[in-house]
Amino acid sequence: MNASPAIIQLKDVKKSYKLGETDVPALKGINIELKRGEFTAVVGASGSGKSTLLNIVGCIDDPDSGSVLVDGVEVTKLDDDSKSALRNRKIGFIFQSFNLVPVLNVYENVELPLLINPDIPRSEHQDRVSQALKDVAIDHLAKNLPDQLSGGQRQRVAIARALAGSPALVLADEPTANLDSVNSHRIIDLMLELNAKRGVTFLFSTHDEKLMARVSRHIQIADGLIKA
Amino acid sequence: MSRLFDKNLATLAWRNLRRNTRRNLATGLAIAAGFTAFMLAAGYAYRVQRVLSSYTVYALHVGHIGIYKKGALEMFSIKPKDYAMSADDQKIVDDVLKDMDNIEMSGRYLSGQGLIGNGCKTFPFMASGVDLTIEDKVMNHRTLKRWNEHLYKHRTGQSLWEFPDSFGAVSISAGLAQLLGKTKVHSELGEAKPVMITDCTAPDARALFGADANVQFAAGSWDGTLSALDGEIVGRFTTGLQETNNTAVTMSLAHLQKLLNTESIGNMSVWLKEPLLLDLTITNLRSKLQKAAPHLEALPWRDERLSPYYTGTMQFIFVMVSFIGCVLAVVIILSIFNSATMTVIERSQEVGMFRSIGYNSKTMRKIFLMEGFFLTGISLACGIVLGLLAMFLVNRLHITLEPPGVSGGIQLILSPNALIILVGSAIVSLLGVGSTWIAVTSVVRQNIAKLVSGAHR
Amino acid sequence: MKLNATFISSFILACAISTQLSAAPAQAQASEPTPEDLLKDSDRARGSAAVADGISWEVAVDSNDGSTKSSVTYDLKVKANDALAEATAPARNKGEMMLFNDRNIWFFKPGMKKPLAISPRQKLMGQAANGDIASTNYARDYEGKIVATEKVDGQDAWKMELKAKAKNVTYDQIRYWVSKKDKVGIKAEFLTVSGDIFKRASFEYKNKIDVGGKQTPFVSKMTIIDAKNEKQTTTLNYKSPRPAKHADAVFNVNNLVR
Repeated sequence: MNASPAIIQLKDVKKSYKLGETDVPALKGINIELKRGEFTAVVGASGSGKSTLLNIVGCIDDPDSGSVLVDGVEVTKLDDDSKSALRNRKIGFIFQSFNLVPVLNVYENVELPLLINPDIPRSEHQDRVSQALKDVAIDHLAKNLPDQLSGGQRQRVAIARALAGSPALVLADEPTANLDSVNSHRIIDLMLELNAKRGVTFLFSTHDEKLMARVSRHIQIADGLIKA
Repeated sequence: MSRLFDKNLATLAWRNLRRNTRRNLATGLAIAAGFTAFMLAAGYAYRVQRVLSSYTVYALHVGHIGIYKKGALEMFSIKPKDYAMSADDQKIVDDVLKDMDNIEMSGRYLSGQGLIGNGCKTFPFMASGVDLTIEDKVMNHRTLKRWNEHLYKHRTGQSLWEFPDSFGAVSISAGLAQLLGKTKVHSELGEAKPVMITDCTAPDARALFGADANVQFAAGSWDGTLSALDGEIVGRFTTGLQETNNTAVTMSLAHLQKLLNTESIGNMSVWLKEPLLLDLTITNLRSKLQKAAPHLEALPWRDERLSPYYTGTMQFIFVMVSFIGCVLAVVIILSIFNSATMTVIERSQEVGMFRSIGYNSKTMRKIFLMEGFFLTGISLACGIVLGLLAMFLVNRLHITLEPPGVSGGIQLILSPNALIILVGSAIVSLLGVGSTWIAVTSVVRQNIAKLVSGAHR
Repeated sequence: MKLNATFISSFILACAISTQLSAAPAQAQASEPTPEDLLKDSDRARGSAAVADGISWEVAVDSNDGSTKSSVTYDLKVKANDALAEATAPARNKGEMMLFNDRNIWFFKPGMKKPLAISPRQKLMGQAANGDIASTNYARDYEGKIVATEKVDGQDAWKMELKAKAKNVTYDQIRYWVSKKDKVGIKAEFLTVSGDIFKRASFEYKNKIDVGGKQTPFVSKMTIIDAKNEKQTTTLNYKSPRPAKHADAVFNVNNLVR
């Protein structure tokens, strides 16, 4: 574990996408530093570059240039396998559309990241999964399949899956976009609670202003640049 | 760790099969039906191979190895005297064989042709002069009995080895017996004296042909003159082939030698205790013959010149089964490729999720390959069960085929062979896994962000 | 003196006969003979129906296939369309018989229980077919036509083409050269159905047979050569042709088994 207080450091990160023959810039030189335990929202309009920023921070997309340090490791220089290992150990993901495996029950879905984590012995799986499920208050649904759950419950499963491996950072791209407002608030409450309780760093994107009000730090992004 | 991980992946792959039941069912059915067809074709090919090989080796007296004077296969029928094996040659071969392992038995053979008559009419015959000292063992060999049961069913009368050489016992093919009007064999007529037919054009002449089992043979003897002698039909058999069923005659080697006025033989046939060691044995035999009698050659029974019907038929069947195999391979490749492509595209977001939480592309591919393997495996298992069931049914239905060139028709019997099924299954599994590999590889290597967002689709 | 007169008159008569005999071909030369007549005449010199009661001769069949030589001698009895050939030498073949009833041929060997019907086309020995050994009846068996006049070994001859009238005759097609002078066959080519030559034969007529008091030429030698391998030859040497009275029973197949 790196002793640096910053879990994420982005320096002059640029990224553009090809749209036909033209290059469309998504990030035009981003500099961010996230400290451990921070609960941060990336806000901005649709197409502003929020998802691109989260993807690069989560090592699931590569910047065209710039430096990305996750827990002190320069990820732009890692090969695919090393990045996979880093994601598994350091980062948890929560997706807008939950992305649960329909043929696995809640318990099995949550256990998925543990299965490939060599640092966590099999004997710990049950405790960790159970704890994660308790933390999101769906431990009674462990045997259920995803299609037997409501949208809010599914997102809780996704949060439990993100937390099961005890990552230093949890990334959530529009985690409440598919939820009603009641459930959206509950999910944000849950994330805040987990942030406080576990000290996990949260970085999530949203364009819901009501949710933004509940978050201590905002990173405003527009046209691929961070607004002061 | 790895085993646990693989077990979990296998569980996931197994459960994934339930996700698109209809598609997987269609793919599985295509594979199962294809494999059933392959099993039927292979069962037929295997059966034919076993029947024809044992028929050639034993019933046709070709042996596992044939020993001939060099050039005899081409020239014996033209210059038999020059290409026959003399008594000295036979002795040399006997001495060589005596010192070799894996030799079950050996025999002396001669062939000749001429005319066979019933007192009124004559027809051409092709005679095999067989070594009566081992004829009992050859014709009652367990391999021949196992695969050519039908030969025994169509045999009538007694065997040549039950009579002394001086008796002139002969067995003739069923078609030839019919042509000659010889409806009964020696044992059915008792000691009936030859019936002289004074008027061959009389209406009762045909009835008189069958009143005795006596026939006459004429042939050009090896000294250039016309030779003839009597024969007594003691048995009747079917060769199974139209080509030979109207001409084949079997008699003792001594009787044919007398007809052809020679003491030589055409060839010696050697049977092996362990036929699988044929190549090894023939190499050994050739090196010994090279020293002892370089003018002689040893040939394996599969040589096209020794077994033209076997090799011709098997080449045809090989082409047929290969064609069915290729069609099956294409069906499997296309079915699995299509199924795997659809699946991986449908699940691209899920692939993205797996990749996001740390699964690398190899692991992702492994999950899909396992799915492909399970789908192929289950389909194969169903195909094998269906194939065995179909074979059982076909065999029970007693379907009679009348292939061209075969006399009297033969029952269609299909024989399953574990090795063929095993090899076929392994190839199909490989094809299934290979097709999946091709279909999923590019997807699992895609940009994860695109996969997660669904942009890949 | 009387004796001399008798001798002289006999001599004159003989000369007259010989003149007549030698004049006959000359007359034939003048007018083209029909193919059928030509075949009948040439058949007579090869033993066919030369004498109504029958004739006999001996024939030695010597065969040489290039490496093996063999020889069998037959005694021939011929009457009308029937013939019986009985082997007289060597000892191994002695008593073997071939009976020709019209176009049917029977083979019999002492000790056999029944005779065997054989084909005239089957080779008896070397290049000689069974049908070659007995009398020749080309007039009966073949449809002939004269196609040319050629010289064969210095002799003027009609070249004839013969086609089999029936399936069970010895050859399918024959090219036959008949001497204009003696009306005897002097050369033959035997053809397959497709028209390829497979055997060649030449004939000599040094024998004479008494036909109604007339000495007519009779075949003395037939040499058959394989068209593809000239080393394979068979020679039929004919000896002692003579008129003989043969009972019909001699030619009855049922009497072969005695």
